[in-house]
Amino acid sequence: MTNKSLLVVNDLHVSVEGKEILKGLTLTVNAGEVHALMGPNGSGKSTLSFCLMGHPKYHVTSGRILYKGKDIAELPPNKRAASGIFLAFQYPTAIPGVTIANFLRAALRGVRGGDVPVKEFRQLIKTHLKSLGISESFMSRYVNDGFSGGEKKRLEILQMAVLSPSLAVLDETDSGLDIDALKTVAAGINALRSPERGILLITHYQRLLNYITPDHVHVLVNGRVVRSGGPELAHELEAKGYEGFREPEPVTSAAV
Amino acid sequence: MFDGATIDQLARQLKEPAWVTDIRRKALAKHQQLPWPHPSDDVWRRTDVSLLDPSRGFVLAGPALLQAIPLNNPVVARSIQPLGNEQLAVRLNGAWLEEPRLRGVDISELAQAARQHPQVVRPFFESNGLTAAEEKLTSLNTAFHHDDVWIHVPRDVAVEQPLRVVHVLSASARQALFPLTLITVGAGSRVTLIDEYLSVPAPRMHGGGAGDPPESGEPHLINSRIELVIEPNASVHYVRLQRLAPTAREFLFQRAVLASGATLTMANLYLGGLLSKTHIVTKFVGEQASSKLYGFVFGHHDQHVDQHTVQDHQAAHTASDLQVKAALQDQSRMIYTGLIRIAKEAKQTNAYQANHNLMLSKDAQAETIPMLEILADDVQCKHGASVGPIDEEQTFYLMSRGIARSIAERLVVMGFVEPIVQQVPFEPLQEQLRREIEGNLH
Repeated sequence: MTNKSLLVVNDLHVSVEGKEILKGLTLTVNAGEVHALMGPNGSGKSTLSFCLMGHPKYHVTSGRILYKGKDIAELPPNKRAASGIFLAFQYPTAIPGVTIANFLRAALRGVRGGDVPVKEFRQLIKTHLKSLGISESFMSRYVNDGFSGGEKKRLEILQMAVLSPSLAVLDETDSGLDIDALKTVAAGINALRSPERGILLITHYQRLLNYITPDHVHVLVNGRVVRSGGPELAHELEAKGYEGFREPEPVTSAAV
Repeated sequence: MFDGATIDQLARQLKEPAWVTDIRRKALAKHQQLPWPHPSDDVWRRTDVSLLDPSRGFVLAGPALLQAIPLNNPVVARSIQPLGNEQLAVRLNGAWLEEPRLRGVDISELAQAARQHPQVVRPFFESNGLTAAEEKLTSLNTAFHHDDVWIHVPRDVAVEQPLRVVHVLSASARQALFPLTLITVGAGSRVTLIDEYLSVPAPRMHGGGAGDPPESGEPHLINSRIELVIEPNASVHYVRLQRLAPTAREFLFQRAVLASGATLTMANLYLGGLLSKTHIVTKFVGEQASSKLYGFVFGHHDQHVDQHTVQDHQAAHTASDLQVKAALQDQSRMIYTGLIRIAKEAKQTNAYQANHNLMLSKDAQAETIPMLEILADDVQCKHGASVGPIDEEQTFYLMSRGIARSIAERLVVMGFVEPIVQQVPFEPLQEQLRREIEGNLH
């Protein structure tokens, strides 16, 4: 851990409805880095993302999450967001009746801790809509309501761009996208790369990594990181599949 | 009090034709003859109808009882001003605030209409088709109505500006009021009508000014009837806005009858009252008639709202799509019974019904009961209902974007209401409704 460490996850155990999903996950993301966390279905990828954001159903039973050096276990999701954590959801929730414009305004107010002048807000939105190739009429639609998979992912990226987080966690943002949407989304993510920002890409496939080259790749199997390496690890995964990565010998409870 | 002598007095005061008075007497006789609705009837089981019986300690607030309207009451003050470019007609306890001058629409008091256009108006008074239970209560309105309006759009008129009619009722404790509104829209015409009903406690009768506090929490009773007749190929957007006082008990019989090719978009919004039992009937008597029906109930405090809707398809190729939503806080209670009736002749009819209840407090209650009577083949009919609290996943999603829980929940509730607010085709009123509903959330 260095003073650049944005996120330090240390021996994290997480249960959902009494079932342990993460079984000692350890991971460090420094500012300026892009990490890819890859793993098969059921390995605990989404559990980590929900847990980082503070979903009430996910219980940390042991281990710690430090963000900017502080334990965030007690912070509600909105405080985590205000401190600069962002999660792009795999399955974003629809909020019928709430326009994207109202939603983004409330979000920006929450993250900044104060009102945002209308003019500045409009300008900010306009810039990001343009760079993501989204029409302005999008703003008057209801949040994720009746959206296609691609529209939902674009909205996640738009939110990320507007809220400009320090740590962005993207949960399977590539799933369900056609190639054009994938390119747009990848461009949006690449645009966020900066020396101050850390990005954690959670993905099942190597596909997204054709467009975003990660600094580090981790393989998650059965609730633990079983291998870490550079971008070449993703290619190895692509060739061998997850079958090639066995989980390490279980640590017996007596040894803990 | 609620007898023939009162009817004679009303007839003299309203200077109505003898046939109207005759219908009043017949209605009273009918009322006296009918039994009160029995709790074995699913539509009536959950509301104590004796609370709607004016003979239990109420007095008629007839035209002789014109009383001060507290114009400084903020709800009244706000409601009697135009909100935008609408054509506005305001009634204060059964009299015009000023004689309305409207374009494309005739509006008059019913007694006057009964004299001038008996052939048009008479069928309303005589129209039936009510259940015995409905008639038990509606006959009281027919017998004692006194605040009557007839709104008429002649045939082939497109009324461009929305028409907003505000009925302000100021009631003292234990008064009973019987407003009656008839709306006729001629063939091929098009109109948007916003019909607002609000009641406020009357200032004290003796020695006080308008600013005096209202008398105790004693109830007043409002038994209303609204009849909407839509001639062939006419298109109507009708909004009823109920803002009755927290001491009001309400019975409403509201019916729309659609001739062939007529279309109706209707939104009924309930923001007030203590107890409310309403029957909202949409009847399709001509082919190709169609309707979209929306409802919103905002329940708070000890409010009891019992709503019954009827989608009555009597003709082929008709369509109805109904959506009633309720957001319930405090100890409020909502009962919804929705009947879809499709007659044997009403082939190739589509009828949908949905009732969604958002529970904002552990003490609020909602019950929802769909009822289907389908006698025709080859029809599409669906119904759905839900009762539940704010979805935690929605709250989490909003919170994950930096929005505090209380604000996130407010957004979800306002989002729940918004599709209904959108059905009020007059933006300044939409804004007012959003502010009003949000301001009353806690």
